[in-house]
Amino acid sequence: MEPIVLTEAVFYILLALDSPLHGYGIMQRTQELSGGRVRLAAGTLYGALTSLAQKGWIEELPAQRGSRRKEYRITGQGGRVLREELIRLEELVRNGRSIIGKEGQE
Amino acid sequence: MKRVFKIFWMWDYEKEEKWLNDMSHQGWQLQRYTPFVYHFIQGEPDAYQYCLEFMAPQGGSKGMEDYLQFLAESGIACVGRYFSWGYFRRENDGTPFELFSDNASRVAHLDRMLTLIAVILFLLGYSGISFFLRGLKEGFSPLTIAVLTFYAVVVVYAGGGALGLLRKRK
Repeated sequence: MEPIVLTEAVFYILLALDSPLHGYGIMQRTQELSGGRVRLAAGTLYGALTSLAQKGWIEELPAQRGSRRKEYRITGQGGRVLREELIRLEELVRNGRSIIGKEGQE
Repeated sequence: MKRVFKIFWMWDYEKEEKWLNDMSHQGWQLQRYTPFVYHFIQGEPDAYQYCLEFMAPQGGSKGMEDYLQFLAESGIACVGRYFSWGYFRRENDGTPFELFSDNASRVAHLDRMLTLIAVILFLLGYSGISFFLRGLKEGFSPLTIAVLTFYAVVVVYAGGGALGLLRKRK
């Protein structure tokens, strides 16, 4: 089976949606987590959310409290994809560290 | 408050964005856009930043509504539309205003425009060829020549625009 490789944007979106968030919240959380390195622009984010929802990795929560702000949440399937991605990344880091060693870190 | 009449080709949208942001720098904030007419009001220089997008959200007009709503929630207001083109502004936060943050979505955006140009070129090409063939059979009337010249001009402009977009795509 083809291994799934996530882009940084998708990885952080899935990570951020550990708790339900709306679009702007996802942008902020991603900035927080990545120390400002990964930016999600609104157009890109909307496209990603649409595609992730289609894949079934996230789901839209029904609008609450009469507020029209839509929130999203990660699904079980999305959680699995995220965990597998983490395993893949850990393998890369392990091998990188053992061959390049800690000098690779600065 | 002033109204400016100006026409930009679709593929010159970055020039259009730059112009709107330059106007903003001079204190003229675009308040509303109606076809080819820009409505500005006087305000603080650089109060707003402007960005254009050739939209195609999934789900038809409901999808479009959703997208505009999503943008509004992120502080991005739509000040006008022209078919699938959206004119957006947000309060200046000191960082460049972009709607796309990765190359995949930027390329997709350019592809939407390229597809439209390709369709137009195809239709013009097809129509142009039938006009031309008819001209060969029945002779070229002034009307036929005018139409063919017009087509040729549009093809050259659109083709040039498309090449520009293709280059940007790289």
